[in-house]
This record gives sequence, structure tokens and C-alpha cells, in this order.
Amino acid sequence: MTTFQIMAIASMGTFLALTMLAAGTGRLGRVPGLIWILIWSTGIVAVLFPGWTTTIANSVGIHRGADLLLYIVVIIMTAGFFSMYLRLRQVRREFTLLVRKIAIMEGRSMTGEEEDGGNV
Amino acid sequence: MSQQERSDIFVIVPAYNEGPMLGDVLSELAKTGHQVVVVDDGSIDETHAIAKRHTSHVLKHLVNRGQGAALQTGIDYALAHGCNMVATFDADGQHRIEDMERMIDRIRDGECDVVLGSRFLDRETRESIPAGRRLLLRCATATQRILTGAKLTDAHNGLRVLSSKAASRIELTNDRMAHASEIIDQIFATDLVVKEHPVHIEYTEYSMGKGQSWIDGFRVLFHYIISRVFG
Repeated sequence: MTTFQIMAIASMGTFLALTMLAAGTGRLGRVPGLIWILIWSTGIVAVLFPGWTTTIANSVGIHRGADLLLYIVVIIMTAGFFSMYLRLRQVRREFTLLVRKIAIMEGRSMTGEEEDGGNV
Repeated sequence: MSQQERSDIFVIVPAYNEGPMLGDVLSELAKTGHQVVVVDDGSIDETHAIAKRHTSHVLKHLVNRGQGAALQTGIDYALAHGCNMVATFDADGQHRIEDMERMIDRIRDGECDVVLGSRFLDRETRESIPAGRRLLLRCATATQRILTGAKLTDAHNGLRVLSSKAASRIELTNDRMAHASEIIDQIFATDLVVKEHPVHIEYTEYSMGKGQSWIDGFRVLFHYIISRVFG
């Protein structure tokens, strides 16, 4: 086993253990937990048996296993960024609702109106 | 129009760092007898203090959230106060009050539910629009037409008047400038009667500085498409 393989397996193994711990205690949802466990496990297998990735790559028309991994990483990261963008968008929307609500409540209290619990 | 009728009309003025022009705009609006609602969108200049000197309806966003968010705050506030009509009026001094009054008349006369200002129907303004701005606006209008089928001559005009029935159908989710397209989307998705009205736009160095650039235009288009696809 090469030095790189030892370092890569040690780091991915740590992340795998942390992911399983987080999934087990409920801090990570079931579906995201399973996805991350699958990602780390695939990474470990790919590092341990690089020939396997080449075999799979060849079967889908890609020459090198490393290229297949690179494509998969790019696709996963792009999907991840987009998912985060949508989530950020949702958080911004909720933040705006809060800001707007406070503005209306303060406006109504300044004009001497009674607040009705905020049904505006 | 009676005083009661005038006071049932709420003019929403979204303002973000509009200190240099806001006082003049609000002084003129105060003469109309309408309720003027300034939504200070997290300004860091004297906008809030100026607004407080001219109207008792001053709402403050603690953080800047964009013109779309400010308009929705103003619309919600006006509806909660039992408004009869809502007008949206830019704070940078580019709109004329007489145009707004004519637009209000059209709704009051029962001609329609929504009146949208169009600078391209006003000959004087049409000829004075800077070439770059004219092209940008034409592209925005054409894009709007392709995406929504709304046959308008000016898709991004800040001067609008809506009946309370129409205003209650508006629920803006685009905080920033994509709200202009979203309003049209939502209006045209209903059975409301919509008309355009020629309005004069005063192009000054100040208002041009506040206007949209081409980069802003592409950003608006991106956010608009994303909101159409993902809600």
C-alpha cells in the first residue's frame, strides 16, 4: 500500500466514521447520511482497488479510472453547489419575510395601532 | 375626488439611500391627499429621517432586502389599512404625480383593475431615453413577452396603480429587481383587466445612476428564470 493510499483511506475513513456517528445520533438525516456513507465508501474502495475503477470506466467508454472519478466528482460538486444555492435562496426568502414582518409591526406600533398578532 | 377617496389611496415609495431626492418627492406627494407609505429598505443615509418628516407611514427594513421586498411590505401594510387602491412610485424623482393621478382616475372610473406606466407610450420620454437604456428596456419587454405572453410596451416601469383587489393578488417572492417581471406574471395570471398608460420619465444623472445596467439585466433574468422553474 502506498503512502497516498494510507493517507487517503485514513482521512476518508475518519469522515465515514463521523458521518455514521452523525447519522446514528440523528444529527444527519437518513437520506443525506446514506448518500455520504456511499460517497466515502466508494472513495475508499476506489483508492484500495484502483483497477476496479478502470474496469468500470472502460465499461462506460472512458479510458482511465481516474477520469471517471474526476467526472463523478465534478457532477456531484455541481449538484451540491446548486442544491446549496437553492437552500440559500430559501433562507433568504425566510429572512426577508422576517424583516418585512418586523417593519410592518414597528410601523403599526408607531402609528399607535394595536398589534393583532401579526396577521398582516 | 373626495378627501375620503383620496385618503383611501396608498402610494408606496420604496427607498434605499434616496436622501438626495426623497424630500422633494414626498413634498409633492403630500399635496395629493393620498396616504404616502415610505418603505426604507435598510438605508444608511438620512432617508429614514427625511421620510419621518413628511409622512407618518414610515416602515423600516432593518436590513436591505431589495425593491421587491420593500414593495410587498408596503402593499401588505396598505391592504391591512383597508386601502382602496395602491400606487407604486419611485423615490428618485423620475415619475410625475399628474401621471399617477390620471392612472388612478382610470381605475376609479372602472375602466380596469391595474394600470401600468409605459414610458414608450409617452412621445417626449420615448425620444429622450438614452440609447443603451432603450435597448435594455426593449430586450426586457421582449423577454417578458416571450416568457409570459404579456403584450406590454414597457415591462419595468416603477409607476403602477392597482385596485385593492389586484394588490391582494400580488405576492412577490423575488426580493430584488426581478420583482418587476414577477408582478406582471402574477397580474396576467389572473382575470384582472390591465391597461398601460403613457408616463413621463425624468432622466437625470441621479436617476440614471440608480438605474439598471446590462449586467443587472442578466442577473434579473437569471433570478426570474430560477424563480419560474423552482418557485
